[in-house]
Amino acid sequence: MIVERAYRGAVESQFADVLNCLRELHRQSGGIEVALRGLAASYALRSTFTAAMRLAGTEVDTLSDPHAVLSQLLRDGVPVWVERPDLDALGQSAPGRLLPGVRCLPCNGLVARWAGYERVWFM
Amino acid sequence: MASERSGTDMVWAVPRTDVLLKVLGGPYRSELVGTAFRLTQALLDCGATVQVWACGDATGLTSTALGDTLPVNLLDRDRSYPSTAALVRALVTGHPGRLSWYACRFCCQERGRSAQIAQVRMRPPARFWEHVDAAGKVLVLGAS
Amino acid sequence: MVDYLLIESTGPQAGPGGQRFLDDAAWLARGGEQVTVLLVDNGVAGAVGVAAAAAELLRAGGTLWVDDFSLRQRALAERDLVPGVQVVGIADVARRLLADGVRAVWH
Repeated sequence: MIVERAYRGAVESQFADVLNCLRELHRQSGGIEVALRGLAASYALRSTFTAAMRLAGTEVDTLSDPHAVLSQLLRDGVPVWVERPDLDALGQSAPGRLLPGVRCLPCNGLVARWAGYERVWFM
Repeated sequence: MASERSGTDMVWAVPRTDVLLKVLGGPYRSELVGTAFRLTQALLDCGATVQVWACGDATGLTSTALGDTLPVNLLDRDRSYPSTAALVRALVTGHPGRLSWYACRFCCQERGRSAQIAQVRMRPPARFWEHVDAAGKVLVLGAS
Repeated sequence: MVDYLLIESTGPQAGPGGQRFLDDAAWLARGGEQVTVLLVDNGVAGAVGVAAAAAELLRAGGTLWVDDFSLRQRALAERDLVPGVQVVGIADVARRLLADGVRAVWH
């Protein structure tokens, strides 16, 4: 399962977002692998983000947080892949800030693995 | 407010505001909605008066079909997740006379979203420029 | 001289439009206009990595802001930002937008 488009509505989304969908697909299918490309590779970085904003006098702390859900995906045992060029595009320190368990491949490392999968979906 | 009252609209004039934010983009595609909310709040915190005109898929933000809360999060059952409609209601009612929220009537109708929360006034697109003329500055956020 | 606040929300990953908008900003700056570009939402990715368009804007004399919320939401590090970028809060953006003579454009 390849995710490229990132950050799609922290306020309006709850669990009907792509990463929670992937958790469910992993459960239903018996096992998937996830690849994060482009800006979505930033989901795999260690984050200090507090998923909240102040609106109308209230702290709205129910924003969706893809970094937290990705950590949960890893705990679920889902292999998560990123490619080095996408990490480099996120800044010099990004390759050193990967969440534990995320696997880094060189350029074209993901497509080289496609033959080994039953299905390849862009989500 | 709620649905447009065409007779009243004949004499009603758009209140002047410091800023008009025209929000074009829809939810679930980017962080446009959250940023629009943050900017609206920040402008209000500065003491500004603000009008928001929602067009296209942004009209869905204030649909009554959303209710006040998102569906129960099975992984977090004890917390209530506010809908965008509830957040807009809170913003408008929390800043009486300083924030107005409008939705394009045609966009609402085309998308089956004519049922809007009471804090939203539906307006015909033919009247949009009255809102531009009533604003000190205009910022168009997102793309249709 | 016009005082511009140009807001880029899409970023390099979204295609050439964002780069072109930053090129517009640099052109205005080279022409002597006062230009502040705010990178917000996915636009903040334009201030890390290669960030050629951002660097060119700064060379042209423009000011480059990055929204702190967007930066933290994307787990991007301040230390990786192009030198010369200022990290700002949404309150700074609102004040700038409201300031007399400032003309704002959102991309």
